[in-house]
Amino acid sequence: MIGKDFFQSWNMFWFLPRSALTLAWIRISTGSMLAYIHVVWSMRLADFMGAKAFTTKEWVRSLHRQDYTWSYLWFIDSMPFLWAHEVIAIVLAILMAIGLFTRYVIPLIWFMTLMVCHRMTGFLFGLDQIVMMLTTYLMIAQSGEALSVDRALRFRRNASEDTTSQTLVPLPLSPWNTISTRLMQIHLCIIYLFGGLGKMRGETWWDGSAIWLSAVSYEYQSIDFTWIGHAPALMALAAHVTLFWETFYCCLVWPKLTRPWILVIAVGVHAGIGIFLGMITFGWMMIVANFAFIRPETSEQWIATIQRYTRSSR
Amino acid sequence: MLRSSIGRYVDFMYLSHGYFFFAPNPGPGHLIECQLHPENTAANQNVFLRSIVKKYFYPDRVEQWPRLLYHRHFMLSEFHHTLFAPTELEDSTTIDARIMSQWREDRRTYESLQESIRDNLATKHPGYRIVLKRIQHDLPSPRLYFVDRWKLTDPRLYGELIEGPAQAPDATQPSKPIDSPEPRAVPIETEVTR
Repeated sequence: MIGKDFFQSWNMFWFLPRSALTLAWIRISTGSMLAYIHVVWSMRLADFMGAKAFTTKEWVRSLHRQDYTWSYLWFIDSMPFLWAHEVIAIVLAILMAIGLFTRYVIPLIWFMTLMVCHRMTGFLFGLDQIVMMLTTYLMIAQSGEALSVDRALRFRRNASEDTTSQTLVPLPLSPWNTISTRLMQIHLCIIYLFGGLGKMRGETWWDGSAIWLSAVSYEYQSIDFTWIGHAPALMALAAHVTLFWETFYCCLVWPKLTRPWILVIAVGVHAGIGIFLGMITFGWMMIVANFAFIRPETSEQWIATIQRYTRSSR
Repeated sequence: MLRSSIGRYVDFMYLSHGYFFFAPNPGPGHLIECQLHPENTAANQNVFLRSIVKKYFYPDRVEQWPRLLYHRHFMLSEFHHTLFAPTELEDSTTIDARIMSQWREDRRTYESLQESIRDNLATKHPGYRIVLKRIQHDLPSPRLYFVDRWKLTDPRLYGELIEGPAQAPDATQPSKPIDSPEPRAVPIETEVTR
């Protein structure tokens, strides 16, 4: 009997069909960020990937000779090719964000960005890891079923449907959306768990001085918050909340009772990193990754509320 | 065993990274100082040291905009520091052969990275000899910052890291902020204007 319940719960957890609404928000944000990432690569393309790049293709190939990474950009440094590559990547990322040809576009932009990641070893950081993680799981979802040009075009083809209120029409449910969401959620739990365990090894997260060290890290700082040095109790509280939240995120994000609090702290921590430590792109994508814990029904309620508000204000 | 069985998959999928944001401790920043010397500078060390025509740093908030572009260069300077292997090992006669072999490989990788960066900079500054230095930007203590009024860009917080024999830092040790007004062991000569 217990076994039957377990398998039923297991099936519901992984395969109970759900709509793609929340995943659509994630797709829009991730696609936009991918476009921006490729625009920034393009700003110094010769320095990043050209024949005389900071790290030449030969050097990167040599660095990776003992692992299993590979990129066609290890063999190509022709500027016309690189420009074409980046322009195509930017277009694909925009198509992903607006949701046009979504099923084909996401795997393509994922692969092109993966090739760039393997080429650009040494220039990457958390932003690239999170964006690639989300794109990987979006490939198996049907995120183009919501908030997309694909969906609008489908309605236009069907004259009987009202295209002006497409978000109110029930969205198709799919187990692939559930699988994708669960993989994002579990991956996020692993990220936070190891981030928390890593911080536990350091003394400064226990005595609170980690917050001071972050505040005076000039290379990261974007807004001066050294005033926090006058409030050691606040620094200790911030460090301990971060440590506790990050380590136990994987447990506390699942129960309905604690989930909202955990997500609110996530938004606070990542907004703080984004605003004060100059990593607005990374902070935003971490918040977006946390969207995975917002149920599609909740997203629908939010959209309905926004629509009601905008109609009443007209 | 787990790594050997799924290593190829996680490597290729770009999932083989540890997640240690600001862990175990937030630490000092690491910069690359690029010095330009005339190509035909005399071999004499003192003359060479005085022959700097220009020097600048990576990353640079003003030169690299938007912020993501700056951060890419910052990651390069941190990566350059992470890959550092000293010119020689202390007491190499007693060191295990495998460690020596690993050190040689690490040193080759580091030197070839420096060469690659120098080649890039040479395209921007033809006719100059380019020298790269690793600079550590230490973090001041609250006392230095609030009481002694040191700015975060105070030259005394910047120090050149030596290329010679050095013990590997222990990542588990806390990154203590600088709490002494004494100058750094190898202070850099001019103020960093960034």
